[in-house]
Formats: sequence, structure tokens, C-alpha cells
Amino acid sequence: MHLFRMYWQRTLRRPGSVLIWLSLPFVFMTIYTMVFGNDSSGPPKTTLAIVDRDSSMVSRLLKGAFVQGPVGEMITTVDAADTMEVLELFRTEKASAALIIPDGFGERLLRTKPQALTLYKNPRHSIGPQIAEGITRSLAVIADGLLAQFQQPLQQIASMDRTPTVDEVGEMSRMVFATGQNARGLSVIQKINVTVVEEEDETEAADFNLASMFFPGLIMFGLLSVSLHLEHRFLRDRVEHVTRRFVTAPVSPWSIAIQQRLYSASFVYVVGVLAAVLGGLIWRIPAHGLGAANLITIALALFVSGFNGVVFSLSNSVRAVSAISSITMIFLAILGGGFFPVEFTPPAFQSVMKFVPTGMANLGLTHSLTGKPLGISMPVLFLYCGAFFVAGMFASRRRVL
Amino acid sequence: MRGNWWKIARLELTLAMRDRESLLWSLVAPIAMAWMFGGMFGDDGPPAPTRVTVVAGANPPALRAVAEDYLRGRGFVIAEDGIRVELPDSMLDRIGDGRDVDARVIQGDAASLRAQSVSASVREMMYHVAFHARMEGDTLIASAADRVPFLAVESRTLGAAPREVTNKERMLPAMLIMYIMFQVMTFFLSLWVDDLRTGKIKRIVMSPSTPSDLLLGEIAARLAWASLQVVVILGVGSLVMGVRLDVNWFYFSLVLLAFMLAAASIGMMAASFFRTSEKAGAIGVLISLVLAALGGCWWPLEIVPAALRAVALALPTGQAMSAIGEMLALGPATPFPLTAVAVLLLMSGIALIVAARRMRAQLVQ
Repeated sequence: MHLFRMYWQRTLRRPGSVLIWLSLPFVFMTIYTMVFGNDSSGPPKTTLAIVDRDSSMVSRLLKGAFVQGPVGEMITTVDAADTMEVLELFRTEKASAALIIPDGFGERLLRTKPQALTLYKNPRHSIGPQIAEGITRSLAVIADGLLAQFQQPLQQIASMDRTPTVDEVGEMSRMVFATGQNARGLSVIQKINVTVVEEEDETEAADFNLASMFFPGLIMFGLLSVSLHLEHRFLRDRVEHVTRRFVTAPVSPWSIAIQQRLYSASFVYVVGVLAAVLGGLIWRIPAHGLGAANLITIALALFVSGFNGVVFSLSNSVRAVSAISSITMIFLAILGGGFFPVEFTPPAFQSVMKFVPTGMANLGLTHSLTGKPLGISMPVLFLYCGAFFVAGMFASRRRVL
Repeated sequence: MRGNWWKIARLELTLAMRDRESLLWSLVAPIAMAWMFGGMFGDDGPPAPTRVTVVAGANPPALRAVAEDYLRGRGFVIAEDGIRVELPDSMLDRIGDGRDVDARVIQGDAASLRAQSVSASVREMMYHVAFHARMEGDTLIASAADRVPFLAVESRTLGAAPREVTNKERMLPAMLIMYIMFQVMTFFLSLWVDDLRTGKIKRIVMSPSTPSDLLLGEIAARLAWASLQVVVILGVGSLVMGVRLDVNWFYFSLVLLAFMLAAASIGMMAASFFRTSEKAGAIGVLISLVLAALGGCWWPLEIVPAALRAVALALPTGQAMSAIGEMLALGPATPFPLTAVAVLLLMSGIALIVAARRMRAQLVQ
């Protein structure tokens, strides 16, 4: 096992490139966390521009309704002077929708005269405008409900064309109080809640962890990349006739091929475990099913080593092999849920992924880390990955000389 | 008259073209990925109306009818196989008693966006019921049914009318942008590092060619390659995948040209920082994928936080994707993408200056 040891020493002596490749999953997980968050806090807030042409107490109340309670957790408001500014906000994608509060809005509202607010949607966006529209309509329903119930006192106040006397103020206060006592729906506004769940038997995920869904796939992508780098070193040895000199040492071609594959698989496995532990600590991935995850990582290391062994035996042209291996690696990563977890894809796609070793590994890893049944057969996975490993040895052996 | 730069460009292109596998994969991959991602995350045509199933549970049948009418009025189709909306048992009693009123929207296989829009409308419906509905015997009375609301919301689009952009229409340009960057950051980047290491570049400079010829030739080769990618990817996308981009083609071409120039210049600048092709290849992949992700090639920029959106607009991929996204949304009526073109040209200019200085230094080492 002299070569096996030599390959390890060579990589550890100059680990720069390996570290760069290994940084891939960490860089992408950081980006994912920045975009989607790592818990169940939900997507970023939608920005709603508000053009307040009324500037009355009522319009300020309306603006305030957008920053309070659950609505404030879903939406951010920004003031805009006019529609020209709204257009600019839309163009620079700084707002998804704009609410226009017309001049005289407060006055008409207090006089309980029907009116409409205009909500402009940014045509560049698809998700934000729907959220803004849903929230604005909900607030309008609440406002309409309140106006309907307080219609009488409001109309009485509005009909006064002089300063009310102390008795009249008292009477109006009593009327507002009495209406409030009998009003329907007021007490329940804060208690209405709608939860979106994926499956019928699912409750709201309190311990959702994005990293446990995405990081295994990203590690897989990182391992494919690291393996690619190792194979490039083997290829260079081959092209510069270093491998041929091993044979004259003499080391048998079979021994060279086996030691190369073993080194590649062991390196990928060790690096995978280290990356997984580090990522688990950084993103606080719950420690479920570590035994199964470890076995799957071994199978994955065998597959990656074997597959790249086959790919790098296709040609002696560095550029050709680089192109093929890079693209196949990206396809394997995508088909294996490297960038988007298998579970996020449609069922038809998932059924295809279950036949790709990287897809099987990803499914098993995400399921084991999220405490679900594995969903894959471990013997089949090992059989599949072992077959690729053996194929990789045969292919490498063919190219030794 | 064409100078030496053209010979250098032709040489680079010939080398790239001879690498058949590389040629094949660099052109096939973006199309395959656009097809794959387009198929994975959406339909080919404009989205069909969202189907909703209302499960009223232990509630009077009339409440189910009110809920269905309300949701129908919001454009949803009531069907047995839709997104399930489960109303809480004894909903009206809960409202009357001021207890928690929790409804569930079960997404199932539907897209999360559809489930979110159903959720918003269900909440609206529940507020409506809370204020306006009451039971009289077995009859549900909706008090607001026959009056004009005091406050309504009219939604419109400011500017040009929006278009329903299909997933494939969005993915094809995104993959094009990603792979132009990918190609200059991987293949061409390694090519330069290898050529420098093997002395080919120095031999070129010892010939009557000047360093300016070299830089111009390298940039021209990258531009020509990127142009080939544009033609093949958009052509095949149109003919095979049936993706017809309804955009102002002059503006679209200008943005692509400015992006190609920026990508080629940045690729040259990046290449001047490496001594070994291993590191160049590794970092090239990393940079191009990060630029693609942050620039909005993987997801729409509207879903990312404001800070990341600002980062995206500081990147060539982000500028290109933002301009292309606007063209796809507004169609041929899109205003001239002046900012995107200007920023991309500025990026290109800065990268070219840095690349020229560093390359000159590399040549005299």
C-alpha cells in the first residue's frame, strides 16, 4: 500500500485545491441561509410602497396597520411621494406593490361613503404582489366590517356642522361604547390563523432546519468536486508518464489501479465526514440517524471514486476529460438533489432520482437527518455503488499503461 | 484590415472547437438544464387556475357554501382534487366566543406559491365571516352580501401589462447567462493558465504580436464563443423546447453583448491571478456558480432579502438577469435597459484595465 500512503501524503502536503473544492458546500449553504433562512421563519418580507395623498389621521392609521402584528412580519412598507417614485421603486425591484391612498380618504371613510383603494402590482414580480394583495384585501375586509358596525355613530359625528357640546360628546362616546360592546368579530381578529402544511398529518414544523435538507446534497456536490480534483492529479501522472514509471518500479498495474481507487474513496469519505460534522455544528443540524448517514457516506465515497475513475479513463486529453467530468458532475449533483433536495421536486422526477446513486444517497441522508424512514434500500445502494467502484478499478487499470 | 489579434482569437477558437467533448457539453448542458429545471419546477404553459377543496368539518353546510363562493370570487376553482382548506370545527361558535379560529391549508403536491395565495384568501374569507355572517336557526345570514363595501381594493398593474412568463422562458436565459460565465471561468480560464505555464503565450509575444493584440485576441475569442452559445442555446431552445421569448430583441441583444463583454473581461482578469490550472479550475467553478446563484440565475431576485438584491445588482449576472427579467415581464414594451448596459460596460472596462496590467506583468516574469 505504498502508493496509497504516498497519495495521501501528497494531498495533505498541498491541500489548497482540495480546500477550495471543499468550500463549495459551505459557500452555497451560506447563500441558501441568507436567501431562505435556516429555520421556519419563512421567506423575506414583501415590500409595499404607500403613496399617501390624504395625510389624514385615518390614512396614518391605515399605514400603521401594515406594520403591526402578523401583518408586520410579512410586509415592509416604504413611503413614496407619487407614482413616478413608485415606478422607480418597481424598476429597481425595491417594491412588489404600491398602495395609493387617495386624497379625501379619511374624510370619506368617516362619512362611511364607499370607496376603493388602488393597489398597483409590480409586473416584474409574481410572488410579492400576491402577498401584498392578500394582506391589503384582508385589512380592507376588517375595515369594512368595522365601518359597517360603527356606521351609526360615525354618521352622527360626521353630520355635525358645529363644535359638539359636552353632553353630545358624552352621548357619542356612549354610543361608540355600546356599539363596540355588541360588535361582532372584533375580539377574534387577532385569533384568526391560517397555517399552510405540506401533508395532512403534518403539524407546523417547529424544528425545521433548512441545512438538514440542503447540506447533504451540497456536501455530495463538494465530494464530487474533490474527487474530480484527485482524478486530475492521477490524469496528470498518467499524461506525464509518472504512472508508467510506477509499473517499472515494479508495481503491478492492478495494484496501482486498486490503490488509486482505495485512496480516492477513503479520501472522499474522510473529507465527507469532516465536512458533515463541521456543517452540522455551524448550522445546528439535529443529530438524527448518524449511523445510517455514515453508511450512506461510505457508499457515496465508493460511487464517486468509481464513477470518476470510469470518466477519467475515457480519454487522455486533459481538456476533454475536464469538460466531460465537470458536466457529468453537475448533472449527477442535480439529479442527486445537490442543489435542490430530492423532496422539493415533483414525484415523477423523484422516481427518476431514486435510480441515480447520488439521488438515493441524498434521499437517504436527508431522511435520516430529519428522522424519517430512509426510503431507500441500503443493500441496493451498496450494490450499486460497489459496482461503480469495481468498474472504476477496471477502467483505471486499462489506462495505467 | 485584421491584425494579429484576429489570428490569436482564431487560434484560441480553433483549439476550443477541436475539443469536441468540451464543445458538445458546454452547449448541450445549458439547454438540458433549462429543460430539466423548467420541467421540475413548473409547467410549460401559463399557469392553470388553482383548484381548492373546502373541508367544512363540523360546521353547517351553509358555511361551506359561503367559503366556496368567496374563494370562487377570488379566482379559485372549487374541485374535489384541489388544495385542501380545512375549516376549524364550530367555526362560527369560535368566532362568537372569541376563541382561536385556526384553519389549515394542505398543500399536497401543489406549488407552495399557490398554497400561499389560497392561505391569504382563506384568511380574508374568515375575516369576512367574522364580521358579516351569523346563524339564524339553520340559516347562515351574510349581512354584507348585497351592499357595496365601504372599503374595497382594486388591483392594477402600473406600467406595461404583465405577461405570464413560463418557467422554461425564465430558465433558458438564466442558464445562458450562467453558462457564458461558466465557460469563461472554467475552460478559457484554464486554457490561459496552461498556455502561460507551457510558454505558448510568451512565444506569441516574441512574435510581432503585441500584448494588446494578445489581450484583444483573447477577449475576441471569448466573445465569439459566447456568441456561439447564445445562437445555439436560444436557437435550440426555440426550435426544440418551443421557448419563444417575447422581448425587444434589440435591447435583449444589447444586454447580452454587454454581459458577454463583462464576462470575457472578468474571465481574463480572473485568469491572470492563477499559476496552476487545478486551482484555476476549482476557483473558476466556484466563482461562476456563486455569481449565478447570487445573480438570480437560480431563483428570482424578488424572493431574496433587500441586501442580497443589492449584492446581485453589483454583479454582472445580477445586472443581466434583472434586465432580462424586466424584458420577460414587460414584453417588447420594456424601456431601454440603460442602467444594466452602462453598469455592465463599466464592469467590463474596469476588469479589462486590471487584466491588461496583470497580464503585462505575467508576460515579463
